[in-house]
Amino acid sequence: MQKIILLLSIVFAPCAGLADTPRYISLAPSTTEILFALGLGDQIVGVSSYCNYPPAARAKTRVGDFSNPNLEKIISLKPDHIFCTGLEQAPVIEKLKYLKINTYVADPAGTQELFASIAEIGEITRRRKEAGELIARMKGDIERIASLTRLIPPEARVRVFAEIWHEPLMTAGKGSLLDEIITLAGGINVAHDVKRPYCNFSAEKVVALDPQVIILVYMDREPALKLVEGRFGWGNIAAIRDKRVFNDIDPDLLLRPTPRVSEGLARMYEKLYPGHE
Amino acid sequence: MNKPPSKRLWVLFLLLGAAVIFGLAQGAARIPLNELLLKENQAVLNMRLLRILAAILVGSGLSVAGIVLQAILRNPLAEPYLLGTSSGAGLSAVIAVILGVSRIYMPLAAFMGAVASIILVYALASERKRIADRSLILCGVIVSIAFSSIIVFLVSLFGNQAMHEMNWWLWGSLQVYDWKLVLLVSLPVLLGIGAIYIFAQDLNAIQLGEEEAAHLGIDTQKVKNILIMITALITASLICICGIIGFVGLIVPHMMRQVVGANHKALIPVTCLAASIFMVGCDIISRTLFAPVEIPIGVITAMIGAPVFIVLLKRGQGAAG
Repeated sequence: MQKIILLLSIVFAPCAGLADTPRYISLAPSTTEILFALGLGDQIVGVSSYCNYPPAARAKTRVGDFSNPNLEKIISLKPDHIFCTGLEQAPVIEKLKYLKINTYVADPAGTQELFASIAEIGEITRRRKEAGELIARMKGDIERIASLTRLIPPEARVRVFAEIWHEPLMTAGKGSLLDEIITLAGGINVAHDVKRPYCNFSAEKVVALDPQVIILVYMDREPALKLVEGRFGWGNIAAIRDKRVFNDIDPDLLLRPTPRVSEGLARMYEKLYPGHE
Repeated sequence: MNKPPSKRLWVLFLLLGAAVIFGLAQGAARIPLNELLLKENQAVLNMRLLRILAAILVGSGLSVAGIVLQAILRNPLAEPYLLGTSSGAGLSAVIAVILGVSRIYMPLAAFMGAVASIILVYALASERKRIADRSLILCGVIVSIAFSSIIVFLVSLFGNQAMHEMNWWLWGSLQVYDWKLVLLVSLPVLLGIGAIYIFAQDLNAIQLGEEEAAHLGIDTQKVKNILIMITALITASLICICGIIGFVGLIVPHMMRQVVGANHKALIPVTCLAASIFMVGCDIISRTLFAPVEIPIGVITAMIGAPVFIVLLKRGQGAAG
């Protein structure tokens, strides 16, 4: 393996370029967004094919998909640091560590951990000040909505079912970012008692829990209501009766731990309490 | 074990009835028995009923398809998805997702994919209007592998949504939302099972060997073609509502052969009932074990089916030896 690296470094030495600006590779859409938000766009030399935000990320060199990055490609880009998430990327991380490439794993399950990740990434990339400002801005945006919803009494809170996928029916339980977003937006995640961040969920349980709002966290051309109203037995769910089924919040805003979380929160709040701005 | 067939059928009928009642009473939404029939619980009860009907349909359809393919291909490993239907349906569904087709049309996409793959397998396997069992099996396996690799390829290119769709395709689900679709699918499945039952005697003969069947005056090629098309139609229809549910079509027919023997007149009805009980039972486990989290049904059928089958097989060997 080391011979291969040696060979590659000889072959690719001419394109290594400026030695003093650090070179970063981001293997996860979330870390890509964070790096861009810290103003490090120019120093990113490679991203995964899932990295779609900001638009400039699409122009970056692809080093493979989310769970299958190409190690050769990564090595050839001579990164000083690689940023990724732990989930499906564990096998890759093992290999990167074996190759002694600096790797930072960001796996925040909620906003507090997200702030910590951003601070650490800022530390690694010597953007401590920018990271501090970003975190302060995010905290401010989140607090602006949290302060509106904090005083809503439990009985007046909107019951929300977040549908991550339809077949099989999947939702987000306790310990997921989405669960926290719903709570911060003043809602009650009806699947909050499920102690798993993401899981298959019972359709009849949804009927029994009678959510007042259903958020579909996936794209479809059809209007959201049309996708669920025909479901057998679902006709009497409050959200469907009141036509409060939505699929127009970008799923990335609700599922990705990124600086855009506050935007996702704002969109969620609009859906749960329209006209309360 | 040597009960008269009608008595056995009655026992199975009673067991199925018990499974249905148990399935109606159990579920993620905990409703006390005495409140189950109240109007406010009507929706939940209806949903359970639809699932149970789907389970019965899937169980009997897949197991009878399995019986037919095992008999005419004379291969104990034959199962309903042998002819590439599953990967055809999966591929078509994944492509539909990537193209941004609304999920309302997903069952149609799956059905068309399944039918297309059967036609492809048939075309590849046929040689001068004759189809050799072995080339049919081989073509089925090869088409399955080729389609599966295209699915994985597409998933690695297009990511998230395609991956979800593949998941559904791999492990199946009895979470059905659309009662009209279940009704629509039940038509070809029930008619298919009925038609297969009419061919029970021919199956008995073909199972012995094509020459023997020809001696008995059976046009084996024709019967085989008809039966393969019927099983394909049953499987393709079922894939629309539940994705792929492994093991039922493979294991339950073998289990029932251990119990009632290889006469298809007896085997087909007994297997239908047994497979229905099996599926309703597996579905109850899948939706109640970790409720409200559901476990993919395919996982349950495999985990329960395998050990039960091994016990029956060992017992059968003991009796024979």
